[in-house]
Amino acid sequence: MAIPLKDPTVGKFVGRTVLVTGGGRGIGEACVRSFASEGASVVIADLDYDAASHVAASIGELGAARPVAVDVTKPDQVDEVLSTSAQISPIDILVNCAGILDTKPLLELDLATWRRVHAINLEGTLFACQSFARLLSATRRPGSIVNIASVVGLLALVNRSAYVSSKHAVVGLTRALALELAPAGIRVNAIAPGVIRTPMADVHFRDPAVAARVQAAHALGRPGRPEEVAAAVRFLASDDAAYLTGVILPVDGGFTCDNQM
Amino acid sequence: MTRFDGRKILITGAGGAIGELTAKMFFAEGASVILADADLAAAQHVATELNGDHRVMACRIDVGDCNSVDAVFADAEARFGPLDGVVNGAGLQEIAPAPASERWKDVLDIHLTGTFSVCRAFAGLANKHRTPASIVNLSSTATHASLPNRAAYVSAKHGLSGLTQQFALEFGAFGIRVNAVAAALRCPPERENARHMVPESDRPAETRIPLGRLATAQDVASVVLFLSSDEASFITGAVVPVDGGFSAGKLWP
Repeated sequence: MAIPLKDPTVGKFVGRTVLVTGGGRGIGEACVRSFASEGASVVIADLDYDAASHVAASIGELGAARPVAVDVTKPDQVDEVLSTSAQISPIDILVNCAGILDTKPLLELDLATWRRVHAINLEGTLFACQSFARLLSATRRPGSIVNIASVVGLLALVNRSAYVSSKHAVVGLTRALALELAPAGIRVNAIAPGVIRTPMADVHFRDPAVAARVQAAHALGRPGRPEEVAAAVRFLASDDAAYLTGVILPVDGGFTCDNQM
Repeated sequence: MTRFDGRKILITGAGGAIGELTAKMFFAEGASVILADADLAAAQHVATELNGDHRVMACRIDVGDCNSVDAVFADAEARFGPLDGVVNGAGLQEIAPAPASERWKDVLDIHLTGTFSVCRAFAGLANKHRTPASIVNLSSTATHASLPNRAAYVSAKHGLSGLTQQFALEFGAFGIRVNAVAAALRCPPERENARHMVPESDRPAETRIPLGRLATAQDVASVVLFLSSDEASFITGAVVPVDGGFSAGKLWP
């Protein structure tokens, strides 16, 4: 679905390059489209190259959108992808959306699954941040990182111990990197999306009982849309957030402030 | 950007540094602004700078007095129709070593009870109109930390987070989002009492803040506008630190 560019000369991100991991679907895809609609050049990094290509093709005349394949669990690949992209166009903004969900009771959780969830959600974020920081420090450019954490990085849900742990760690990593990269002029923040209608989550909404509970758990009476998360990502990456670093911004319709459900 | 074309926004504390800039920025993006302050002259001064346009109204408000709050909302609605947003910026600073707080009640009355009164009045009206709306409360890093010699202020700001989240839950059904900005203390040298705004320490504030500088009014106002805009349509109950990384941790060892 192409988004018409409002006015190519006044997009807030004209002249900026954004790299989005997990940009092939869901929140990542929404971020790609959102930045592209504001004039950015976007590198769509995804394990699924076809999905990334499809998004790039559909953006069409909005601007430069380039797909690239990457397995974020492999630091050498991540480094290669960021370095190569930076040679084409220096990266200003990194958005870490690559992530997987896993639902399993604790006693059924095997070590391989635990490690895989952390490898993608946490280490993938770490490797991308390290490469980005290395690139920017070498050229002394300022930059901005936005990590996609989750409301379950702030509170827990049942039967998701690996996912909850990995997202809590992303929150901690965000704060740690915010302190450490501040002198280099790199702001590091995170979004904590709540229940969002994405392909990863949508399978759960088909059950009407679940859908009703989701509605009741939100002050705004509904789950969120990927575009709403993307708008918040854009904000954190923009100059309007120039004094924000180490912030974990809930985009959750009030989910985290209601303990009744 | 004209995110607020046709919107009507009431700002309390509009005569203060952040309130004034916030009002000007809303105005620049198309909003009609109601500038409310305990100091009518200060509010009128801002109104004059906006050229006393038909999109501007200045008025006196005593947020500690429900009648004053209700009257201001009634006047604003009579002039502009249903309001789309409120920014609670009214404040009072007290620096006093504990337990010698003489102004405990005043500080709480303005920051906490005053915000409660304004929110209650606004929600009552918005419930009638059922249009999407936004409340942004100007809080402080004091909302989740303690500061020397500011027991009343810290207590009020902690309460303000609770109030923000409580009202986010209660007003969601009316389509009202409620958020807060936990702004770092600033040092605007041109304002009186400026140096009092920075917590005392033998290390300059700049070395204790990860981003290495104090906040500006612009830093805070930009976030207030974002939270008030449609771009924040799924954000409610958030207390957003605007503090240069101050609350992310300690620059230690």
